[in-house]
Amino acid sequence: MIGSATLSAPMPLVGAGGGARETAVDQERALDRFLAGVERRAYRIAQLSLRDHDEALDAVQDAMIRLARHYGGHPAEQWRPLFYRILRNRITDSQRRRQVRQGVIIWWRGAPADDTAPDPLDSAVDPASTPEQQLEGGQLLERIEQALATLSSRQREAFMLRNFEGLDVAQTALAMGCSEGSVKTHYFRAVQALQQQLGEWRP
Amino acid sequence: MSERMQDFERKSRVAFDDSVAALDGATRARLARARELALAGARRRRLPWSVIWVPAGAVTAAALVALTLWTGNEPASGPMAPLTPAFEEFDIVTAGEDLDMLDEDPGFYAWAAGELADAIG
Repeated sequence: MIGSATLSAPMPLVGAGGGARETAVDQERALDRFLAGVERRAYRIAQLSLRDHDEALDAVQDAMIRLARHYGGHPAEQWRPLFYRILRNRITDSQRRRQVRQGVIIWWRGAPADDTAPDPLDSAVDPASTPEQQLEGGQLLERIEQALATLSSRQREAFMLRNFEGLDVAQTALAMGCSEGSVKTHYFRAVQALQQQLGEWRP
Repeated sequence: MSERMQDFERKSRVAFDDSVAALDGATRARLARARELALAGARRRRLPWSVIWVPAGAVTAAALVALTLWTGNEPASGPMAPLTPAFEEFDIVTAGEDLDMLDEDPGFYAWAAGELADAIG
């Protein structure tokens, strides 16, 4: 498992000498535009993974800080996969810390470890509406969110990065720290699993 | 990939985009603030060390001078006491005043000394 894999060593910052100041200003503007364009989508992806508003915000903030500090000098086309790589590692760390916390609480209380299991009622089909109706608009994402929680972390990441964020296979592989073949496999299985869980939905 | 899967991808993507567009103002503001923080951190990192540390050093030096002056105004005591006469002598040497003025009107200074002695009692 890649978990908190380290990224390549930071490159030297662009510019040294006469035009360094202008280059740095241009670079900061470009980075600002990039982060402004990605921050809301990144937050939603983090929220879908962590299912917690504040933790998601913290994860995105940390990812932005790390990208700006350590990888701002990289070519702009590398920012997106690098940013999601950092965010993914941060999310994984949060999930691990949460598991440890829950383990300690369970041990302290002496209760069976069943708090993390998804509530079956959450995924139960509402008999009052058809699957098509349920999957329209906001309800679709709500159902997808519940279904995503049941996938493996790798499948979930592949689906969100490829489908929601629009990364190509190579970028997703860089962000996930795995091969392109693995990305394809995880993604295909994720789509299959989601479709199965969301019922006999027809376009 | 089947047409059904492609349609599922498209619909789920649209739903995700809609949820991003519907983010509340407070969340957007926090994200914008986080971005500013990230950029400020990067900006600070780009600065040469001297720009960061020289002002810090100047502030520290000013604080030390202020502390020295403040403690110097207190009655001399402890290890500072032996230094006081030396400072007074140093002041006289560096004052640059013309001590020959005492020769110009010695009576005046004798009178002034007497007046001062009467005032003190």
